Amino acid sequence: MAATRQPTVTLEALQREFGHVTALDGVDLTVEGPAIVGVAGPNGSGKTTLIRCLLGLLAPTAGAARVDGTPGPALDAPARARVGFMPQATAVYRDLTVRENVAFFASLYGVADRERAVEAALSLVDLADRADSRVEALSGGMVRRTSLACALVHEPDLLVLDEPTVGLDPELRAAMWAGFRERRDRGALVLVSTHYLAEVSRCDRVLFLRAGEVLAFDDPAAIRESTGADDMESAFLALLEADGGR
Amino acid sequence: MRGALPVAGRILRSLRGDRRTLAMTVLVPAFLIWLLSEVFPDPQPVAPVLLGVFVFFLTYILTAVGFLRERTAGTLSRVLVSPASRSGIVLGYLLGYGVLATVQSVVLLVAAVAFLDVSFANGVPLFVGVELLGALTALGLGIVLSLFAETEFQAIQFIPVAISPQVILGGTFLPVADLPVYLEYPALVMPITHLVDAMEYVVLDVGDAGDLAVAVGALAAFAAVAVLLAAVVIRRAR
Repeated sequence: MAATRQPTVTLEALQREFGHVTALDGVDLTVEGPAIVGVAGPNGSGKTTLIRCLLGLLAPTAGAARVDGTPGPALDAPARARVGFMPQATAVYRDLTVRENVAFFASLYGVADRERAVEAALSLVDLADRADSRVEALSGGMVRRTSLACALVHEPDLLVLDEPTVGLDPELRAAMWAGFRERRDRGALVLVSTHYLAEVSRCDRVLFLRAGEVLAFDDPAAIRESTGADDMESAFLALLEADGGR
Repeated sequence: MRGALPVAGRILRSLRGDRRTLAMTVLVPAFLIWLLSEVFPDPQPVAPVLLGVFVFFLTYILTAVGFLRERTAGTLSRVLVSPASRSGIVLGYLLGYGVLATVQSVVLLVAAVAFLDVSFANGVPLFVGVELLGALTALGLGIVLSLFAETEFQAIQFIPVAISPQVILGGTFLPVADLPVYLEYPALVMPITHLVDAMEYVVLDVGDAGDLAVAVGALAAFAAVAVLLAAVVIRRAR
């Protein structure tokens, strides 16, 4: 299924506090698909909070996070049906098989040709041969791939992935990124959070976060050029230094 | 109510592969009823309490732990982001665990007849109906209380706080009317009190149809409030 219209994500002075801790501090962002947008930064920089505000799982303290112009908590069922979400946690049912997990999310999203969609998602994550294995019997990498299949079985226009490659070996990470590019090439806006800074060079655009604030938002080549760095890790460090090393 | 059927189906499929929970649902109640039949020489008078409290207690544990697992595993976030409505998710839970409560009610019914030699003065269908109303209340309570727990151990810790006082005060050991007045009124706002009342009518024909109507009405109100509260507070689930 091709994207019906260009998905957009807009953050306007997005702020979220947890008690005295400010997880997001006035984040502004506008992205329009199709593209792969990396949300990068060290642990605790606000990546997951940003995603949860965008999806309506957390209410912002101030500002707004919108999908296609609608604030996260106000997204109706048809709007939510355009979104696929892979949380940071395992987020699959360990006592179900791989196929049952993917089929459950396909039915939640009202996928029309469910059997075909499930098989396509399983093939994409290369788990067709383990489809009838219970998740609790799988390796960590296979569990992450099951989770990814659940997120994209309904071919979403906006795919939001929170640390999808954490704990995976390089070969598997490369395979996952190939899957993200495949979704992007079919019209989707893919939002990927990661704390592997080297990984974001695979993105079309990168949002660097530190302590809830935006350090930079640009394409990887432009960030490297502006900082004079050879890789994205060095670029991030140079941005930190330019920001006063706070 | 979008999402109710997939959620209910998922719960039942998960249970199918969970032999320990199935054993707890089917074998343990029957075993406990048998044990009680060995202890009580004349079990008929205590049967209403046993039959009412068992399903309430087990449904609470299964729902609280099951819902907590959804939260901590991250699957609930995922389901909340999907097009499923909040009320659909709760209805899915009601249907899924409702099937389990029905199975449990039938197991208790058979065990009570076989081991306790219990007769149901006002009929078996009424027994199943009252049992399911009790289970519905426990289910809503399980969802609501699980939102205040971070671990399965904490969900179990609510039992002495939220369930045990109901069992002690709800007519199990002493008729509610015989309690000191400062305990009588709290007992009247506890679901188990009305569950035991209704069961006493169903099993022993204590009271009249008017008493049953009051007990069932109260129980239905508790069930409705618990389920509505669950549908509201599920928005707080993170």
